[in-house]
Amino acid sequence: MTALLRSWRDYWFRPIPLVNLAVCRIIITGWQLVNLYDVFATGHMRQASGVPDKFYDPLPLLHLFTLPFGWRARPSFELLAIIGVVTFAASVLAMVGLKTRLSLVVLALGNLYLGAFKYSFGELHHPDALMAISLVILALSPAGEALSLDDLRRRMARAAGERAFIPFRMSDDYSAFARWPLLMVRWLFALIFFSAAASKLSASGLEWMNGYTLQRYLLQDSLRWGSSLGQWLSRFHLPVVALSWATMVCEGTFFLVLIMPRLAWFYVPLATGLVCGFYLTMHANFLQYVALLSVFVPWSNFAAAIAERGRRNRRHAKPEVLFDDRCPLCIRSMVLFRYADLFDQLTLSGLEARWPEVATRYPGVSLADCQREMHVILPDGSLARGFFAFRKLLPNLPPLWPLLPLFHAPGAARLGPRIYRFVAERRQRFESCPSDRCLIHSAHSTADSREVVHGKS
Amino acid sequence: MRRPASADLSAQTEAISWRKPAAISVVILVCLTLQAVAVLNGLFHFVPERGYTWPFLDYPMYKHSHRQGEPIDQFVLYGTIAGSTERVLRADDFDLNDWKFMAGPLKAMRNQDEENLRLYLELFRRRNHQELAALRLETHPVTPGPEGPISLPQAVLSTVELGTGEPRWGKGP
Repeated sequence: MTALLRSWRDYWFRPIPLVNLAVCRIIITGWQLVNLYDVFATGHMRQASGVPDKFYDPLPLLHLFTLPFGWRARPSFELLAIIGVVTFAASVLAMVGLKTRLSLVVLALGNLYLGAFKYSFGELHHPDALMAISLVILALSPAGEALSLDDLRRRMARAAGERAFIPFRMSDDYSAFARWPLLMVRWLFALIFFSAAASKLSASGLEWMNGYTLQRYLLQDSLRWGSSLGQWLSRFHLPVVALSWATMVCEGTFFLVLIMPRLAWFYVPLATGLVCGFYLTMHANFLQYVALLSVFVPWSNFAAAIAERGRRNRRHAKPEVLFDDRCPLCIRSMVLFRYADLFDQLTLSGLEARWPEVATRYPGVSLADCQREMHVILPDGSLARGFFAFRKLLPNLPPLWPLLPLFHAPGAARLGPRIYRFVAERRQRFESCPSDRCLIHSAHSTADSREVVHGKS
Repeated sequence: MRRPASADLSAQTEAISWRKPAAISVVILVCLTLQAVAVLNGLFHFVPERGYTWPFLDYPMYKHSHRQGEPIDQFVLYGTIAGSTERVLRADDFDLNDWKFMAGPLKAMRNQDEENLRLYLELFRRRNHQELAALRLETHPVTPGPEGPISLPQAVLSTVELGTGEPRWGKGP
């Protein structure tokens, strides 16, 4: 018995990098964000609200939600819209990782409620079901403990408290509770695919792969939903026979990934291809599975492999950011940079240790300059400052890529430095730190900052 | 739990308290059991109705096999507005999505279900501010062919005249 319990614990609760779970959280909640928008934008909820009461047959789950208001209480469209907006907002927060636990709980419950309502009119469809379960699982997991604003804020607060930037790598953060949510979704996938294959085999046997079956479904759904690709494909018997077999093999043997996780490299692309293919040809919208299949990807290994490849291919040194290691604001900024530097593309160096060498190498640069605005030593040995330094760093910071168009927009090179300088000159307003330690603040409080900084250093 | 020693993950597993893993284990077992029951119910039908365990479902879509040349029904609903000409009615005319249109007005016409049809006619009236005088449901079957869909003979499945009195049904399935 003890051995069994130990095996159970080792299987579900073996520590893995939190990043693996966090990436899935971002992908899944991001996908659900689009999905929720789609549900309301296409008017499905409004239409469902207009269906006569006679056809309203609440699912048991909906009874649970509405029980305080009566056994057959039917929500109005206004209430559904409010729940939709709250769920949408929760999805945004869960994706960026702000109040992650709470937002995931709200998202999971809102999604269950809306889904249960949608299917309380007799018809029942499958694509949302796995997503609904997965969101509940995510809400019970530590998915917000990495790659989240919550985690970033925690790290910044800790660094500011310790008054030191301690280098870290996110892939080093392990949790014993990061593995079970991913395994759960994998198990559910295996059961679902098994159900699909077993249903076909029990109803039709091998006859299902005769090609005519899938040709018929392709034509039927492509005509119903308007897919010319499906109509075109339904003309070819032999390729459709091959597709039928691919479908059956994928669904019927998918559970093997639970036994041999390396098979994910075969099954995940195959399942993704089939799901996308069925969407394009039959408009069978199981695209949520593409997001959910992210649970099979070892994201931390993936990031490490990219970093390693970058290291091997790099002919020059990494860009080196020079920061004042006595300034809390600079320390926080470095936490942000390290956090966004997913593939270990940057070197972050404190001025205290690096200044003598930097001063020798760049005699025209003073310590006060380095403290006034960010300086980055680029791989070719040149030095970038302020706005331009930040712009040079951006390609190495994937989470900040959305800012790239802004930094390269017409006029950015003229306007950017002014904005940067405006913020940099006022940054002491945003930060309180002991002036005897922080060179920025002491420099700003002194008439000749350069001289003072040199004196201090 | 942060920054584990390089290869000592099992020791970390040992170190965690049993309470939280025990609670999570219950969640795991409940979820997997519900999903497994839904899958088995789909195969062996020990509970007659599907859907009661949503979101835990079986996945029997597209399970039936078909032979070459079998027709695919494509239902087309024609409506005659009072004092107007006949036109094809679509889901949007009833303010329904396509699934609800198939399970609603089309099914009511196929089954000549007057009671349900009246409810959908009311949806039509609310949506279009017009009264329907007659409805006709046809099937325009096709079958896959090497040059594209092959059209098969069309058939009228059901008609209904909606006057002031009782509806008059014709041409049943």
